[in-house]
Amino acid sequence: MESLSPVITTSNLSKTYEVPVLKNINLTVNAGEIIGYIGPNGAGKSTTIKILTGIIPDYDGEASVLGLDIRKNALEVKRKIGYIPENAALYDTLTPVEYLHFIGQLYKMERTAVDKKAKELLNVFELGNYTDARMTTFSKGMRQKVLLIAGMIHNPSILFLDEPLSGLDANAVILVKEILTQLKRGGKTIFYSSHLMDVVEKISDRIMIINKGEMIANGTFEELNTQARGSLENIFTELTGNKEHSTAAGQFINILEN
Amino acid sequence: MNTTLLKFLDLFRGLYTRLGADYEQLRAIVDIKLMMDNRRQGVSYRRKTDKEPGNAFIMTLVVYSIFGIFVALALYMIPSFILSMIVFFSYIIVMISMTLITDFSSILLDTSDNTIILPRPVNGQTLFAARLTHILLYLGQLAIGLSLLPALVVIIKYGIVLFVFFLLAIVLSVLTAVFLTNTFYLLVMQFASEEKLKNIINYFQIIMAISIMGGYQILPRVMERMDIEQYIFEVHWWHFLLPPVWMAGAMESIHFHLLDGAHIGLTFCALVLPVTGAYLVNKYLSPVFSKKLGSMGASSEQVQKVKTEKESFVDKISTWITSNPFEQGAFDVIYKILGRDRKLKLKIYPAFGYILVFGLIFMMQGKKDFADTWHNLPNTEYHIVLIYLTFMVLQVALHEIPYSDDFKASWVYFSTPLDKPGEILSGTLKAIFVRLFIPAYLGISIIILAIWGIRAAEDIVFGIFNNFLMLLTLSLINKRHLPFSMAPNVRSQSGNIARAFITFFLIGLLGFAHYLLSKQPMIQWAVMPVQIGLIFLLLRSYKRTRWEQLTL
Repeated sequence: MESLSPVITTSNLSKTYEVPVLKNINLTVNAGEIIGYIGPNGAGKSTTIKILTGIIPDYDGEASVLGLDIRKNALEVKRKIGYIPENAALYDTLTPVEYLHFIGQLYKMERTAVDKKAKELLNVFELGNYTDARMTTFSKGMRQKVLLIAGMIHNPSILFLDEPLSGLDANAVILVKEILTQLKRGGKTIFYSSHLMDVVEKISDRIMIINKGEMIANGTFEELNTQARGSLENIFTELTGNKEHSTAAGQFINILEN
Repeated sequence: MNTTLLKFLDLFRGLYTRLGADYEQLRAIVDIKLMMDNRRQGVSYRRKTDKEPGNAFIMTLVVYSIFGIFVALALYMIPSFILSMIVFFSYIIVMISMTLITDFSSILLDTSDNTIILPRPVNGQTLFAARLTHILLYLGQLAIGLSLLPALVVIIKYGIVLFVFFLLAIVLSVLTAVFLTNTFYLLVMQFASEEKLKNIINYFQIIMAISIMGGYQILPRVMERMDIEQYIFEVHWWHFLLPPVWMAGAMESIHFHLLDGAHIGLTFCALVLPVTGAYLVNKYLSPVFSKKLGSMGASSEQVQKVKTEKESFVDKISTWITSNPFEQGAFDVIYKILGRDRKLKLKIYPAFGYILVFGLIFMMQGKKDFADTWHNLPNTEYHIVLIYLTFMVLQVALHEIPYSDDFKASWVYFSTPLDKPGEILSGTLKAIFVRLFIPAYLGISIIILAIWGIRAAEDIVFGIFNNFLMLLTLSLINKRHLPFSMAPNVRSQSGNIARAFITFFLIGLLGFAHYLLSKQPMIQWAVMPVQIGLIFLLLRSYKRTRWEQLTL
């Protein structure tokens, strides 16, 4: 077991746009943990991640990463963490190498080192043949791979991933899962959100479930299992109050047939 | 070329550092932005090639300096010093403001920076300075290009001393334009949502397209007729509201050593107001602006609702003029997309303005006296020209309708049991006609009735049938494509000129026939049933288009 020093803590973290999207979130993440952060669409997952990565600067409550208050040290926090966004936003008129080169420069990495690293990483992700092709033609999975590399190229000690597996094919999912597990073994902390319950169930040390801006569960899979029985999928629907799936499905069929 | 520009930037490293920006990061951002600009232009100006335009910067300069030829000529030929200067500075300020609003808006409003750069350790000053630098480089390029030839004229005509002040005035004009655009953006953003802002910008782009076209066609013709030889400039109070007049006044004051109150006032405005404006932009407007931009990405998650009242009216029309679900479906969808797709609007809507531009050119052809021509207009048959010029809208629409960025969505035509694709085609045609042609024609009809009176009524009715016949004929002889089903970059350029030529020839022929018939209104009324019968026949044939007849 790694040392149990918290690297992410929040107390009463709240955020309001027109309506409250996060309500008094209190969470602690220890070094070397993999946290699966799940919840229905619009629950506040992305907002939490954006606050913890210093992208949204105005929030209520306290949040700190690596002992740094995010509100005061956003730049320092950004330097030490990696972030992989959910919407595949990248400058797609560039080639992957150009893009990664640019990202590396923003982290002040040495130029030749970035290029070498970028090419090698692209090779591992089977994009070796596309290093000099513009990304306008890339599929969603290929873009996601480039984004994964862009988020990790500076070797951060904490990694935030927002839906990192969307659009990836089965092989790539297995590869990313394996990368995450090995990163954890190397002492990195990983905080990620996903809709893929079976993946979350398998690789997370701890699972946090958020619904309507509130944390409704926080524990290992075994611990959650005592609150509600079955697979993570069952637990999830149980806790997020969406038990009427089969009724809804029935209705759907009914409307189609009439 | 970019490396040269970046080396130029390196000169200001100290300045940037003092402003609180991280120069290395700033350089990286500017570098990448310039690189993307080059490629973006590659897509919009020519056909898509993966080749890097090595000297895009120079090329753009050349293009802009060609734009500058006209104003350089004006500067050279207009005898009145101050008038020529007013023309030049109006041109510079208008061009730069318009380009800032139209071309640059996409870069300015691009929120992908928020997701790509914001998560990285880049501070606010660096990002802001990088954006500003990017804009300034772009503006510099524009201003240098546009004033290259005019500056040459100034050196030749007025000497090197005035040239130096001339350059200074250009810089001040650019500052003024930046201030004006910034204020414009902020005002609009204050009252309109992001979506509305994009619509407003879209309309500006359309107006810009029309006015560039119109300006180049009409202004020289107007100037030929104006008595610019005898032009005498008097300063009025409202001149102090017009930045080009400040600049021109300052130039005149320097060149002729005029030191009266009005000139000193104008020179003062020219010097002080742009600088004050720039200060205000930097100090107060920019932060508000950045904040607004920052919040844009966040608000885009809200789903935009479309007003539904208007649609029920469309539904009524569509049930009335279409005969089956396929046709009606196509009509409804195409009708709505024609009104909403900004890219499409930018391509088609300028044609509305071209009608008037070309109409004016036709009427002014060979005439010396504008007022006289105007009074004589009701006795001429020029309204027939207007009637057939309206077809331009349809011509452009026909050309654009097969293409869309969302061409992939056309899979629905293939996955549904669509047995007669002709129904889709005829629905599309009707939608184009109702959405684009009818409003344009209504406008033209009002103008015609106002000038030519009720005697033109039968020409208007006769003309609308002819226009629809023309639309049908062209649709029948052209390759038939399903609407919005092809990628914009596969568009074949071959045969376009020939096709346009044939179209204009046919339209001309039709117009001439109409002109001959217009002498006998009775025959005109008699021909109308024939027209309607023909429309019915052709439409039926078009509706029966089979899959084999389509070019996919």
